[in-house]
Amino acid sequence: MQNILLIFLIFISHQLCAQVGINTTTPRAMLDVEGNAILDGNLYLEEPGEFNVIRGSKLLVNSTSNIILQYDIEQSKYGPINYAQFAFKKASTNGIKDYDTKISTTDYLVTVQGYYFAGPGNDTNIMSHSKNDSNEIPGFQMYAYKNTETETWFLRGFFNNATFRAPVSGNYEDVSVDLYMNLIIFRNGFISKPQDDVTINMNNSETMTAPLPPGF
Amino acid sequence: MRTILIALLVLFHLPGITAQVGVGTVNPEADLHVKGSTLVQQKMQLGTLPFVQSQEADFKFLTRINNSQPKGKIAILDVDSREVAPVNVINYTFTGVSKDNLTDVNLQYDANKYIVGLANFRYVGDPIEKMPVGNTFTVGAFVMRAFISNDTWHLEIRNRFLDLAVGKTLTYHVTLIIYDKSYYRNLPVIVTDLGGDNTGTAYAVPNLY
Repeated sequence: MQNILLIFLIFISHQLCAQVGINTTTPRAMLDVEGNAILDGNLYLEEPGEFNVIRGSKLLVNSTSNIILQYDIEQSKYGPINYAQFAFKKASTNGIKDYDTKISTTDYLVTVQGYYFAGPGNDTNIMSHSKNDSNEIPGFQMYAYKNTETETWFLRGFFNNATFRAPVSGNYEDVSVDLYMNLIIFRNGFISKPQDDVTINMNNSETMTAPLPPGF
Repeated sequence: MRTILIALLVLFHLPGITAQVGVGTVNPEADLHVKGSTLVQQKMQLGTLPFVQSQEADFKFLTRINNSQPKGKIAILDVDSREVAPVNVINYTFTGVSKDNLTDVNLQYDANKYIVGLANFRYVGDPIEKMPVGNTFTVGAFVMRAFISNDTWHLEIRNRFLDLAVGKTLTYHVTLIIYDKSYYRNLPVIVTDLGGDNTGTAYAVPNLY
């Protein structure tokens, strides 16, 4: 590393433009580097061209060691947005009270964006039924929440104060249920972030203008 | 501006024939090493970029800034340093609800900039009672939806047909997913007249390809 030679590798093409090759004598652009490049300062691409179709390309990412990489969702540990269906077979007739997904609350944001339920053998002849009074329509709760002890996301899925019932030998009885919850799992800090919780007191009104969180 | 003048500092490794070029440095650490900013006025082609490996994490997307000076600065998309990310997850709680009716809550998110989705729904509190209709009972029609009105997003959660009885109370919890439309496309409504049937086919492939 002691001998430093200052030379210019300039290849004059037929016009007045000079093409520069590094590790190549046949540069294919104004600057052609056959090898790796380190750019310590800013990089400006004035006219990179447009790409207007969704498929047939890879997004670029910057690694924690500052290397530009291609992002292939099939090879990567996670996607920016991930979908998983959790299929709970033979869940309690009361539904699911606590289920540890083992998904880190630091790294991910977990949301339940849909659900359905069925009886054994995918039988759709099953319903929610109030334990208190059959005239009541039980409200439901299907959600993910943070367990601060395990630092993982937990799931709950049930109808309030109710059981799942299906016809058994001519009578409606409490039965175990197959509960399917559709989770969208966002990687925290990649393209997604949590914002502060918002509580709105409706003051017994059916309409309201909610405050807009800062930045939106 | 097709002429590019670059002073090249070429460092020859003694044992081999590889040449390293430094710009703004006499100690290049790669085949080309630029200490300072780089401006590419036309196209830039990256030949053999490696892929993210399966054990790697916490990498960030790259973006190009249109209004930088010079134009086209390449920057890291760092959601932690921005108030609003491409996807934002916000837990909402509604107390003091009139009966069971959130008829129209203006969430104020600009429909030209954002798409709003709902998740993690919780109905906490007293149940609505069924209502006799002739010889049988109705459970009414429970609705939970985000909708656009006057260019902002609104929320409706209620049983449209039945009401919670006087003296009963409930609280709604719902997580809103706020997607930035620079990253998420809002397709036009796909309307299909099923003519009373319970099956159907979209008249065209939605514009996704």
